[in-house]
Amino acid sequence: MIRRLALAALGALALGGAALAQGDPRADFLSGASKSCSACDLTSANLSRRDLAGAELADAILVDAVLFDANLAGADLAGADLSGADLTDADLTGASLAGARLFDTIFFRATLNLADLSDAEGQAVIFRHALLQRAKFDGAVLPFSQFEDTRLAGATAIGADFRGSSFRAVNMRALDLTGVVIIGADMSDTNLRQAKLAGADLSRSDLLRADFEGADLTGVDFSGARLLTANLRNATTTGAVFAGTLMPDGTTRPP
Amino acid sequence: MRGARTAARPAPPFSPPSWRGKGGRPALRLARLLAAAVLTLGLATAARAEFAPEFRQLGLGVDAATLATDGYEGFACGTNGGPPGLTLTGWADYMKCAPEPASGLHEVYAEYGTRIGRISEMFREQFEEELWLQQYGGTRMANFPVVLSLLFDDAGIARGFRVVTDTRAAIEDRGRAYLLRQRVMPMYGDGEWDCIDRPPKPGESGVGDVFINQVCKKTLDGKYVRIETHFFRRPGQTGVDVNGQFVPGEYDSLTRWEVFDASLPAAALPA
Repeated sequence: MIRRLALAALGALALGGAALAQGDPRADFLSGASKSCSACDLTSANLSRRDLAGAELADAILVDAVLFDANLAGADLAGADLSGADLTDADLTGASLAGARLFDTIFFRATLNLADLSDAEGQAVIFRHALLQRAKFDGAVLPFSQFEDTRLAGATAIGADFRGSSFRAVNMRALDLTGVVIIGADMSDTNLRQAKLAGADLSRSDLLRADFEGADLTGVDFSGARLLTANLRNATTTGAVFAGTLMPDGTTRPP
Repeated sequence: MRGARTAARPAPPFSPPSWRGKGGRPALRLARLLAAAVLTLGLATAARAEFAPEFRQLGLGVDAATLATDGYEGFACGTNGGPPGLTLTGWADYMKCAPEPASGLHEVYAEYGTRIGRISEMFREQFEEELWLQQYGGTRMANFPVVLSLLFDDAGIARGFRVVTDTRAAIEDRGRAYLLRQRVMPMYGDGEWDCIDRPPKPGESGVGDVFINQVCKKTLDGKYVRIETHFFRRPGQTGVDVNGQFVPGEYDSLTRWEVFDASLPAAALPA
């Protein structure tokens, strides 16, 4: 009997030890002992100024989390839910945000150079003053987002949906925006020289003073858009739709 | 007879019967008690006066339970000098804030002067110039917009004080944020600062010829004071766009002023 009890106690100890060795990934992550917390629930977590470079956070729930000034360079946030999260001043250089949920997420003045945001889904995302050079937005659906004062050089947004977003005065020169949907957006004063916009839907957008010089506008839908004083010099407009468009010279095309 | 004896040796009016019941010499006990009371009072007073406040009545040693909330609003859990987290009703709610991993302290964020701040902001937006009242509005120190917080231990005693210039402020305020250190450092005396100038990391560069990434530390009067200053461009920030046009605000400019109880374990103090 005593031997049995002793064996049972030893077994329990071994199991407990194994559990301890395995640890709690969430607790380890929050305490800073680990950078790996895939699919963890980190709702409302305070991760400000944390060094999370290369962190494994795929499918993590980071709703309302504060990642202010955090270092997330090269982090894997694919499929993570960052809705309501504040990433002001965060460094996300080369991070993967593919398929991430970004509802009301704040990337104010964040660095997202080389970041992968393809197929990300969200709304009203704040990218103001963010560095988005060579970022990838292909297939992303991010309506009503703010892109003012961003750096987008070399970024791609093939087939992305940015309807209702604001790109006012943003330099989007030579970007590949093939098939992009930017319906009802503010694109006044944008620089779209040599941009690839074939098949894009820019209907009902404000394109006041936009510069499309040398851009590929093949099949672009400008229905109801305001192109007043826009520059279309040397742009390819084959198949473009100008129904009800306020043209650069002030005339309105019939609907 | 017993009554007459009692009348002849009246008990001191302030001596509780239990003292007499335990025997011993009441006068000596009273003296000891008075001494203990004086010592306790003295120590308590000393504890309260141990740390001079850093700002108004805020500083180390204050008790969250008794610290007045008058004049402060917007209480929330702090996020290491970042934006406010969970909303609180006052300092006393400190335990609702998760302890910081290194120090185990609970950071409580607070604002003040928000009404004047809002009026000043509206004035600036409408007339594009600063209202003279602005320096008294919003959570400002020396006219720098800041994020203010106190860090409490589990017992509710403030063991840390943190002020970080608000990086979400308007460009002109943020641009000069690194200069707050000029106002803070003299408060602790000019000498004996242990300062380290961090070299630029790959991709970081100066704003013009100026590159500041400095941490200064000093221990005095039981306080560990740490002041971190940034004024440099991060990787990718150049200050000009591809057309060579000036892009304002592309730099990291901040002052991070922290004061901790020097008796905290070394691991709890930021390096």
